[in-house]
Amino acid sequence: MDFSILISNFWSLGLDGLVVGAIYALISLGYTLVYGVLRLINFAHSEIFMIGTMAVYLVVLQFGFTGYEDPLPLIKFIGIFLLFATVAGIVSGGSAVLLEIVAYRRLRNMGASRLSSLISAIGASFFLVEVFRKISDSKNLDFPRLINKDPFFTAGTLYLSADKVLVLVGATIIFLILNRIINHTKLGMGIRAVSQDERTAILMGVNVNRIISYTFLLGGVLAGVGSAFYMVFYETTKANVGFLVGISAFTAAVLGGIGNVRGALVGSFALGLIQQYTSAVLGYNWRDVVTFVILVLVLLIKPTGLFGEALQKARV
Amino acid sequence: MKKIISIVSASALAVGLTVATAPSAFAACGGDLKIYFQGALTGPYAETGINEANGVILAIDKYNATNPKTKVAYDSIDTQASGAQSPALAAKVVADECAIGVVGGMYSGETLAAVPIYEGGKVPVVSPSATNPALTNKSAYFHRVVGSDLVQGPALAQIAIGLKSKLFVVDDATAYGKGLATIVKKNATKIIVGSDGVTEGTTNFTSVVAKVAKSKATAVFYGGYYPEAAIFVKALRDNPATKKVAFIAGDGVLDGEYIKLAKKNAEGSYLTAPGEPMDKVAPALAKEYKNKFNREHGLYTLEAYNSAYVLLQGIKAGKTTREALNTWLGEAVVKAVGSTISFSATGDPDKIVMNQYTIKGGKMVWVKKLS
Repeated sequence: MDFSILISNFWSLGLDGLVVGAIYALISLGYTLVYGVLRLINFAHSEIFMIGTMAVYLVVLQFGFTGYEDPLPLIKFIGIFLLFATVAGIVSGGSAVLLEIVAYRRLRNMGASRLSSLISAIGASFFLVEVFRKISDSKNLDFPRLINKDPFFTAGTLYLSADKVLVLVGATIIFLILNRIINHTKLGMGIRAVSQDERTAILMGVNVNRIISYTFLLGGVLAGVGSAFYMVFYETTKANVGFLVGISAFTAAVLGGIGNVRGALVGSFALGLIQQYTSAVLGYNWRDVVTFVILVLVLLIKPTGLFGEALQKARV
Repeated sequence: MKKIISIVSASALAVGLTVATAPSAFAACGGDLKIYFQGALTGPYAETGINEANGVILAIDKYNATNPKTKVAYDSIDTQASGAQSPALAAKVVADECAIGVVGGMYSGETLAAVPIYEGGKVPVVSPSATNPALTNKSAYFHRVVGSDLVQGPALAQIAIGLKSKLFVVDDATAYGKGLATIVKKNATKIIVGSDGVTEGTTNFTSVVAKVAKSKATAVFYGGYYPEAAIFVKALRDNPATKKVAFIAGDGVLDGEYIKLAKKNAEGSYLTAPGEPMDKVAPALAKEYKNKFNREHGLYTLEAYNSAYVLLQGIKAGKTTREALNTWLGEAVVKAVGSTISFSATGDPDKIVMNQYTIKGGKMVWVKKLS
């Protein structure tokens, strides 16, 4: 145990925790949105994220980078990054919609129990991981260094590099856009209506199936954009990359109160910070122990999580 | 259904229920005797595995080309280097009447899990690359041509001490990684400034890097395999405080994939392996390998070749049952390529070598012999 690292590296660990938290947040929003409208945990959501990383990998292959080049100039990098995020967003969003149609819609229309949908979700998750394991030969796929990660600002142990700033700024912009969508558009109103009371929403003329599809699309796009950030930050992916990231993002959603958008955001950043600080103080292997002890404690005191499950009232 | 029954009976055999009646069944081998390779032929660790499997194939083909009395066929089980998969696959080998011996396993974890199954079926095993000390004296049927980490660990510690470094030790909690890290710690107590453990498959090393930075370490030892090592070394190079630390690791990291994943960051790593540089020790064989498989040999290709070679020499000497071959292995002294191989009663080789390598210009480069 080394508490002195909290003093010497407080800010640098905090920054890394926020960066990781931002990536978690983009993924946990997908869990929370789907739960909000369907009261269903989409366990295959981690694979939607994985598909996004694969899409980014395939796009970068087209450019023929060897990984030994100098990093791209910032403007050029931002251009290429927007391309990654767009492609990953489209691919992940499309996959999520397809997943909803194949794995959930029929079950829902037949009035199957929630348990069937849960099993169907887990099945879809295994299916996707194994398909990509086969395609990628279970290899770790590498992503070239495209952005200059040298620090441009240093203060003690804290240093800022372009990739961290990109993740934090980029994620913030996306949260603001999401806030607008949920609170100020017809789609957002529909999502909130379905999540509040599905029956009444139908009576008010809301097309529930369409809203559910859009919710999956929204969650998928967020995960896809998250995967583009992930690839730039970690520069590697593999077929089961979604597992560890997905578990963390799901935990963050539960911590904040699943079904609640603001909860997912706060939960993700809190989780990122908790993980970073506990692994520095107690050792990496204690990270998940502490994380889940905290989760259990929060749920014991407040079973609905920090913010409760109220998507309809949420503000980002 | 038949297949299911045979798998069920094979696993029953594996747990030893029918071991007593097993040997009589093996007389029924209809075709050529088979030498199996156990290792990863697909998956993240396949690079090392394929280079070993090809070494075995080369040895068998060369042996068959001499028109021996008993011809030998090659077969393999693909464990993906997983200890969870290897026992069931080993049971398949045990159930194959024609299986006379195994070259493998490739890594320690999968080997530790599979050896009891092989012992139950009395199958002699020669590993080209499993280095965990727990395998010493594990079974009368287990042998290996490389020294254990009890030799590699101190050698790695010596490198760190030789660099006059302050050493930070990280392991990946696998049988191999944690085992090797423990030995390194024991042999470098005076220079250790900190340690941490991660889990296999992790990508987030930032907190570990922060600890390394705080400890003011000038060298880091990583006990684990190349997929995580590549991410770790990148994370170290990205942080200004740990940019220049020396990166030291064992044979689990020494692989072409490490360079592919870590790129420039792999340059200058201090790596060790009991594996001999094939192009230095046996240039003719290395060339033959390249012509046959149209790829460069890897670390442990020579050891895999020699492991198969030892088994083949036994078969040539007329030891065509598992039991006879195993007894022969215990006594034999075989002049293999580049070295003379004989096994002590514990299954470890009598002659142990250790080599130091580095990465230079995107290539693995042999530096020197350490012992």
